[in-house]
Amino acid sequence: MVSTLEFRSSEKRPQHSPVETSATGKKSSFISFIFGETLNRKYLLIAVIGTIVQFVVFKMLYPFPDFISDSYSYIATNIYHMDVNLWPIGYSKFLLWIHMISHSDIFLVSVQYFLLEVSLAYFFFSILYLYRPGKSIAIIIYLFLFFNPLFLYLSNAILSDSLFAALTTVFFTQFLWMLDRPTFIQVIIQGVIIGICFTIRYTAIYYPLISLAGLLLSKHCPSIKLAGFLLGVILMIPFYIYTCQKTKEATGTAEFSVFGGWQIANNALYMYNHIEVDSSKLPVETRSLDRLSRQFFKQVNPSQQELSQLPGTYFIKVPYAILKPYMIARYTYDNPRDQFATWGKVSPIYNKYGTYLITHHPIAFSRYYLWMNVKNYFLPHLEKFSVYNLKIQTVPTVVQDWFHYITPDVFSKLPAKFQGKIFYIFPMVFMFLNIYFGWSLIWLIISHRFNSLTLNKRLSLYLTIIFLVVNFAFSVFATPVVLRYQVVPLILLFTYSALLFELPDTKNVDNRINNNLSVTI
Amino acid sequence: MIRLPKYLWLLLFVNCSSRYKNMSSLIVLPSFNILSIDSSICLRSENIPSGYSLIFMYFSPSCEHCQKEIKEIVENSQKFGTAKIYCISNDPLEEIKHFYSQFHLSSNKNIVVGQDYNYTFYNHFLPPSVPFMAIYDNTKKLIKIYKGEVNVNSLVYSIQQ
Repeated sequence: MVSTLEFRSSEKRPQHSPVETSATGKKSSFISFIFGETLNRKYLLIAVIGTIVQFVVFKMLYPFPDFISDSYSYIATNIYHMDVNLWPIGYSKFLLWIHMISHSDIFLVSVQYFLLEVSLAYFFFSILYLYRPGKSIAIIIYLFLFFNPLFLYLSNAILSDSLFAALTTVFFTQFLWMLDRPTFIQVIIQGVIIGICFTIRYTAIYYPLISLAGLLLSKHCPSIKLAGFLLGVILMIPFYIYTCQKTKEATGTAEFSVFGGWQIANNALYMYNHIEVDSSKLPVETRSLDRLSRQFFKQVNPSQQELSQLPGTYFIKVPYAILKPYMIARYTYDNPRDQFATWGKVSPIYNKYGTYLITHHPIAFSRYYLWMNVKNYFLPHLEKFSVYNLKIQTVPTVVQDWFHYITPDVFSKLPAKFQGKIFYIFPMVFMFLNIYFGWSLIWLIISHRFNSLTLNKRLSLYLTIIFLVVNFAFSVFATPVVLRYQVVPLILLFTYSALLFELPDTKNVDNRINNNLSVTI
Repeated sequence: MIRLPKYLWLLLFVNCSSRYKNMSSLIVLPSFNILSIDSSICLRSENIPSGYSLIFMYFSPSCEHCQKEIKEIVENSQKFGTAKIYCISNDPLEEIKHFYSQFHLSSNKNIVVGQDYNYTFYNHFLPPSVPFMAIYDNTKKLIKIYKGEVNVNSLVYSIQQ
């Protein structure tokens, strides 16, 4: 009796469920599940029409894509034929391939939106197929995935987030299938996706951990598990070596992420005003940087509020805050190629300086940076989502040339800050979902309900928890926390919270099942 | 069901074609006058011969970005082929003359310098800043407008489109 309980009780399963089709106990194929069942065909049809209508209306309101400085960098990588840049070049290559088909920005945004929605459809129907949620829960998840402005705005930005979210969604879904019915092709796909994701965003550096966890939880034999894990890692290595080599050619130092040095120094400087630094003990090459830090905090001394306005990137973004003045005093640049070389030349010093400060003051670092980022994680900054095109009405020449715009003017038909109002609630929703999901898990455990879930569902919950925890740790330690980086965690939290919401309490289930048994007898 | 997406794509197309609706007066080279630096000739835009790509650079002689821009154009003049470059300013003629001699523009037959003496160019294009570039093809149809300093390669790429 207990073993039949899934995310919802067995007696609540819809009668028409195609998954439990026949007397042989065999499930119908995934394709026939989607196209063969009336309800699922309706889901699909409405999703297709709904997403097209939303997209057309959205593009009427936002005729141009949305850009930030990272967007310019991705495009400049192509225009200046760069082999490496501040961000991994995978997304620049994606832009290039799309550009070979069409230079239209609308085509690019359409492709981004299409890929994202297809990945979400794959995820949604996999959830329906594997876990059979009740109709109301399915509809809630459906509305979130296919009628959500988040994905429109995400796809309209010339940033890697949309493509990365699509790939990550497919990556995660592979493991859901692997836990239920493992096949070798899933192992290959997840490995290949890790390799691709790593060229798009360095966040994918932790994906082999997720892969390892997913493979260990799966029913594959040990040799396939090992092969699957190694495949992902092996596919990351060529890009790592390539990037290091090209960075060395440009900057003189074989670094994988030039931005990494900046990020570490930036993170460490958040605590600078609260620690005593003995300059004489610092590595010699970092002492002039430290003098600048001391001078900055003596003269400017930004408040905690000022520091927190830019989510974990104050010392990278603010032009007078130590890191940029240090660089500009030593090097100049007037094109993106030289800009990368310049950023790369100071990066090793920043890396050394930041690492020294963090390792010598771990408690202050935890208090003034990590804790701030923990708060940022649960209430992520809207950043890109708060305003259209940084509230600027033009784009740089590289963007104008890339998309063949007649003029550099871009605009939206809604006020630039309108989107900030739409997304105002999203950070709070993210926090609420984290709390709700955490509480549901605790409740499942203390009420001894966790073991009443079928093995596959327990395993998928384990995998989701591992993904969320590793993502949390990575986000807090290594990156600024903004909403666009947390889209996939948001999707997982929403979906699994909805699925957990359906769990009836033990007493009711037992009563209903006892009643059924009495009737049968 | 099949017609709906087509209809929607049409709407999208119509919407996108309205991106430049404020520029309808500039799609074909508008009418403006340029006074030559010796004040001897008033060149009307209608009299500019077609058959060549046209680059109109609105500038200020004292602007550093404009000086850098013209310097790069002169240094790379062979890349522009037969394109005609009109450097136009509404600053005093004396300053424009100084700019003309400073960058040895007389030695380049494809570069014409003049004054927007009655602001006709300015009133059509409303350049928000200088340098400002308007590029037209050999049939006097607008190709591109650049606002601010622009890489010479972008200019060359534009006239080759």
